[in-house]
Amino acid sequence: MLENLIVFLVVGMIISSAVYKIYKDKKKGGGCASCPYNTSCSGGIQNTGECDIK
Amino acid sequence: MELTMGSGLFRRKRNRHGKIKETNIEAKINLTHAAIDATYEIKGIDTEDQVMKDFLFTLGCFEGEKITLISALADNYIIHIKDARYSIDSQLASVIRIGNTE
Amino acid sequence: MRIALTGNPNSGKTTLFNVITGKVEHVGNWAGVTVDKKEGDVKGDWNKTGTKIRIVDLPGAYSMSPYSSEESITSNFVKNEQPDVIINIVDATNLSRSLLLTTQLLELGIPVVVALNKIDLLKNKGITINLKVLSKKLGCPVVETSSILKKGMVEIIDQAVKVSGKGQKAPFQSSILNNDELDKKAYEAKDKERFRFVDKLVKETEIREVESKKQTRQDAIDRIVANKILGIPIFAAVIYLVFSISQSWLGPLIADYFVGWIDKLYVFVDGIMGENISPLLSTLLLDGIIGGVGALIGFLPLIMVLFFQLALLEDSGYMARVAVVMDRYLKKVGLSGKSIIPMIIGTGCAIPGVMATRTIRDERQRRTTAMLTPFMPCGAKLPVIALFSGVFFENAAWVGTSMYFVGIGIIIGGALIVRRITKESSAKSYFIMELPEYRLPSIKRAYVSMMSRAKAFIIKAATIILVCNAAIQIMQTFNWNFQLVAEGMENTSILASLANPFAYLLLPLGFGVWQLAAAAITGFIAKENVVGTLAVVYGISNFIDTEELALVSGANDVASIMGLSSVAALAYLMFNLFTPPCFAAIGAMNAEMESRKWLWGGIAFQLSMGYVVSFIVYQVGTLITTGSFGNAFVPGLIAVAFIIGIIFYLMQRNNQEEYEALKELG
Repeated sequence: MLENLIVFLVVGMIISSAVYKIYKDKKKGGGCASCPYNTSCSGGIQNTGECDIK
Repeated sequence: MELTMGSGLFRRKRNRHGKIKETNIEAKINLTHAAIDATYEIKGIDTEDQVMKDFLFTLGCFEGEKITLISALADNYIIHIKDARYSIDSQLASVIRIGNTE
Repeated sequence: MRIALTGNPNSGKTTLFNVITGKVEHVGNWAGVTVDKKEGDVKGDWNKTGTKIRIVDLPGAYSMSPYSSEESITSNFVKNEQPDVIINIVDATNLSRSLLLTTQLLELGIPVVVALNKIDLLKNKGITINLKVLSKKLGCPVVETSSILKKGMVEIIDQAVKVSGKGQKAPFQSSILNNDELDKKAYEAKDKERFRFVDKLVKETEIREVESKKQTRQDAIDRIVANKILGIPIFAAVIYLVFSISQSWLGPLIADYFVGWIDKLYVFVDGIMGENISPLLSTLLLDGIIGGVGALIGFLPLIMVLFFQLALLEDSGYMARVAVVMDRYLKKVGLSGKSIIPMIIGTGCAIPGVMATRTIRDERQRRTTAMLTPFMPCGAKLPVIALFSGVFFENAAWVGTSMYFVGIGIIIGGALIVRRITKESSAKSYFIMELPEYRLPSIKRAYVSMMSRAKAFIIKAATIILVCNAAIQIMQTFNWNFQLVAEGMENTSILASLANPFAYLLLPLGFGVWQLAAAAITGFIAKENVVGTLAVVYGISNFIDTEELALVSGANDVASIMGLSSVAALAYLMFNLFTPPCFAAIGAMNAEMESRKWLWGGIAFQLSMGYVVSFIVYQVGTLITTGSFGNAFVPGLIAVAFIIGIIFYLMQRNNQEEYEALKELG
């Protein structure tokens, strides 16, 4: 029974820490978690339309 | 390309009874008529699109500046302005009016 | 103390920023990679002054002129936030254009330090610049730097600290009065004068042995890679090579070691839990969490190799040429030449890709591009591609390559349809793009970029994917009465009953089983989920065999567990790639389209496209391989005919309206 409790706690901890991390990232305002620049970038290219692509 | 130039010239001559100076004809050619590796002087940017015109201006592409055609690929022209190379499409090339530089 | 970094696009601002702050921001050898301002503190190695210095990296700008609405982030920041010092990064190989901005910056009264960057390229190009004269004429310090070689970093920071608080005199005095009320014409005249001033300055300070307008080997390369006929085959060959290396050669080699560790972890955890653990908990931990996440993480080496190569490609300057090649085709179907940029960015992640559509001025073109960009296979779809090409096609690199080109094909076809439905706007779109010089890509920069993407991949797998997998595992273990599902009664689980209705819809596509339907649905949360969910529902702990140096463990076993023919597998792969993207990307589409009608239309279009494409692939493929049509051909045909009928109706309707409008007019 004790083993079950330990495993249950471990599983619970893994899942809750994952949920916490998702929540924290969302709050930081990152768009997509799979993008390494998700906190620093607000989109792909400059907002106003510069770069020399017209 | 030369063909269109020639026919345009012909038409204009007939309209104005052959009283047109050669420089005026040249003033009507745009970048799509340019020869590769030749340097031209920009005579004007003939477009209604002010934003594009302003943008070209900041690159140094405006009346009086020099422009060189590096290559002409399919629908794109590679041009040289002020030590930089750009690729432009034929629509944009056709609004850049050029003339020979001496 | 705050320093702003300004300069022309592709002058190396972000590279310099990364060097002096030690950050990892996305750089690429093409213009417009930096989107927004970014801040960071100067690293101790470069800062010998003892004061804390904050650096702000701004997007590239060619000019500060008030009449060009573009580049406003840069000019607004410099004008409104008053940094203590401006470091102006000047591309040393292109003084005649770059100094226009410099003279404008010098007029703001904020002390300027010029960083003459890319100094390492000068020798090769036969350019000599007289630094002393340049500094004297500009009236500000000029420091030679090379952000790639990390040269001149200490000096530039040093100079910046020295001049801070001193004010700045402008070298260029226009004969036209400096007045904010000046109209546009006067500004233009002033800037023309400014260009003359710069030309004179360049003449006095720069000696060029070779004129830059001379044909170079680079121009010869351009003529080949951007060639009318060869352009596309070369691009296809490059993508094929990238997929071969990541999917067939190097990727699996590394993946083998990697998967070995995951397997050991699985066995280890299994071992310590012993026999007394309730099977419910042990399967949740082993199959749901370790198995599901492990299956996905197994693909990490492949993805890292792929991202490494893409970073090399981006660094080399080739992508700008791809944009030139694609421009022609996109223009033909009513898209803007600029539409290619979002699509190339979309191969990394669809969200920044969709956001990049902001640069397209024409509304219809912008919305169409935002709607079609997600058809490019993004980074999250790569594990799905890798899984299916591994299980069903022996890691053939053609699978990944063709998915890219099918994506491009769908975009072009889709653009044609959308143009017909919405009517073409008459806006002329011009295309101009600076062609950066080719350069030998930096292994180190590609490595750094790869590692940061790998980190993001692992984080995603350990968060969103992990939670989804655990939820899937629980949903398939219980039935609606919250009792354990009995062996052989899997169809009664919560998951199965939720996914079953969808499975019926997928029957004509060749994969109408609840397991595959469930995986496709979880894919909308994140596309990597398809791999994780498949691992969980089929109880496969890894897709990669450690012994046979093959990507997928007993590919035939996995294939037979799933019970799919290779044709149906290809249809399923395409269904996952070409239906609507993940929810986050749909959110980005919503933001950029600014229209509910377009958003829902776009999602409906993506769904129909995915459905029709996989129907055709499955039914025609089955007809070819077996000689008869596949499952549920007739109901599928009716559904597809219905979809196509609606699309044709919408296209026709507008023709009709146009016709009537014309009749009224004339």
